Amino acid sequence: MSEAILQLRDVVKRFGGLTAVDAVSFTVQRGQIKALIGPNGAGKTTVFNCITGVLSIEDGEIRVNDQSATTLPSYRVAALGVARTFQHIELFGNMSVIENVMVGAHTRASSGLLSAALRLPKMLEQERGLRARARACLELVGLGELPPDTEAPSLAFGQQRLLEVARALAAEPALLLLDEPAAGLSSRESARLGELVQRIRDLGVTVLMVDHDMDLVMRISNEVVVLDHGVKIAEGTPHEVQRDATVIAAYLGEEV
Amino acid sequence: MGSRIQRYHTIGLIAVAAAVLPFVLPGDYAIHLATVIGINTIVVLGLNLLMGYAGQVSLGQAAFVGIGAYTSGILTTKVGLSPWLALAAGVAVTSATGFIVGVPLLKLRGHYLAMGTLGFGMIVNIVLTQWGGLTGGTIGIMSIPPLAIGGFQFRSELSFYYLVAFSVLLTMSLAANIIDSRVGRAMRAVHGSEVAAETSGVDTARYKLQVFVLSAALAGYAGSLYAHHATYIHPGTFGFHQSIQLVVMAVLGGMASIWGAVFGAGAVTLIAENLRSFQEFSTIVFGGVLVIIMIFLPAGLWRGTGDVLQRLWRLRHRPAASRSVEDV
Repeated sequence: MSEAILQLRDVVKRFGGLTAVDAVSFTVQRGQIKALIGPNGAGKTTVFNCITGVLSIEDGEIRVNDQSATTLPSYRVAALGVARTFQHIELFGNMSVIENVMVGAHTRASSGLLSAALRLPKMLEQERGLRARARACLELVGLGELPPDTEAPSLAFGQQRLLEVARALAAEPALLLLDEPAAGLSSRESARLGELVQRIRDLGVTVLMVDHDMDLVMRISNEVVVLDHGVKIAEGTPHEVQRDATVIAAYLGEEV
Repeated sequence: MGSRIQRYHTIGLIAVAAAVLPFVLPGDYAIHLATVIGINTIVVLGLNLLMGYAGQVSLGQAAFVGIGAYTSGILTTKVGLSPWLALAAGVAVTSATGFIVGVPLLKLRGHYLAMGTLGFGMIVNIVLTQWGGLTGGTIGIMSIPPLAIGGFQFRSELSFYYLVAFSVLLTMSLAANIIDSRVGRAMRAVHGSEVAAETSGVDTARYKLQVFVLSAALAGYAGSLYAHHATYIHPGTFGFHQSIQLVVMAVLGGMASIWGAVFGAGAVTLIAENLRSFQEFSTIVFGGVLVIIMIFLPAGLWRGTGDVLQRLWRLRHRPAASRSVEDV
């Protein structure tokens, strides 16, 4: 539990005059479930976008598995073992359920254009492997019953969220970033999601999640980081953070 | 992507239809038209991969056709290269051009990419027109030799038709294989959500370039075929108007549909052919026909026709079903 899988050091992200992420530092240890919380506009999703290379940062350093990911493009951060889901669902609407998950396993295969066009035996074998892996991921998140050729947009909202998780898991990531996975879910779905996240952690995947469902966050997280206006205002166990005066003030809007 | 067996069935059906077609057509001119449709289909298949599957627009595809045609024309008439080698060179030159142009252009998105490719098409057309010493200027290149195997020349309409039909089937099979693969899924993912594709580990710039070069290569191949079929080429054939027609064929056939390419290419070629009697009004009538088709078959001819047939089937069978219930 002592090995750091993700390290942020003084990360700064500005949008014009607005400093969305202001010198934020924290570390995620291997095997943890860590939560990133804060009021709306605190910069949580921006932090996710910086980690995954969707946004480039102005200052600071991001390390994944002790390798610098500060200036890497997204697809290379993914190759380091980081997978994510999105707050606003970003499924491939032009593809089936199983194909969506198979794209998630993109880095786990290597066949190129020529072997695809000619359907070479090695490529076909890889395809079977990818398909089997995708099925396993769908089953893990509880979508195993769906016909695999269902078009992704025809799924219910909660299923689409789970499909994003399955797609992220297909990469066999070392670190999984979940951006508001419980948003829009019923309390029952949300409870089941909590169990799923714990099961994912038990499979050896470290989880960093953003969510507003405090019940869920406090119940399953090992550690919590609190952001407010782009600044880290607290970090610690759920127990510690809940009693932190700055945190309470940030959420309730009181003067400290 | 449907089942694999279904796909081979479809290819087999099209192969049989293509083999029989010349015997039902009324004469050489009809076979000539079928050949033109086939050549256009190859270009549209590439455009379909690029636009329909990967979501990248090209309004300059006719330029690649032109580069393929002129490579063939120049190398056979001025250098004396064998037509087959010239054809291979045509594919190589268009691929290289696609790569060189694609690297900067594909940084653009949406409308900007459309404008960029449009500009590229215009530049190529100007070069073809103005570089008289090499391209023959507005007059073009004449007496391009036909393709030949041993002593046999693909000079008759029928023999060339079969050469093109074979090329179309081959291209279709390759395209269908690519779509249903890791590379194909990566390309489609770029269309579906670029950010999700990237964070899934897909190097989107690389796959955009791959599919762009592939579509250029197919256009170049079709262009070379065209040059050896027509034996005479001039810049007017590869201008903006043709680029637009190619896009219309892709859209009309159905954007993300391999089989639709034939229908799109066929419909546009035949409609344009049959509107000749309208003379200067033909463009207006052509536009009108397109609008009507897109209103009633928005998913394109291939899927649209399928949907309509399905609806008719249901209409026909629903009364039968309710009757059987009454019988019970």
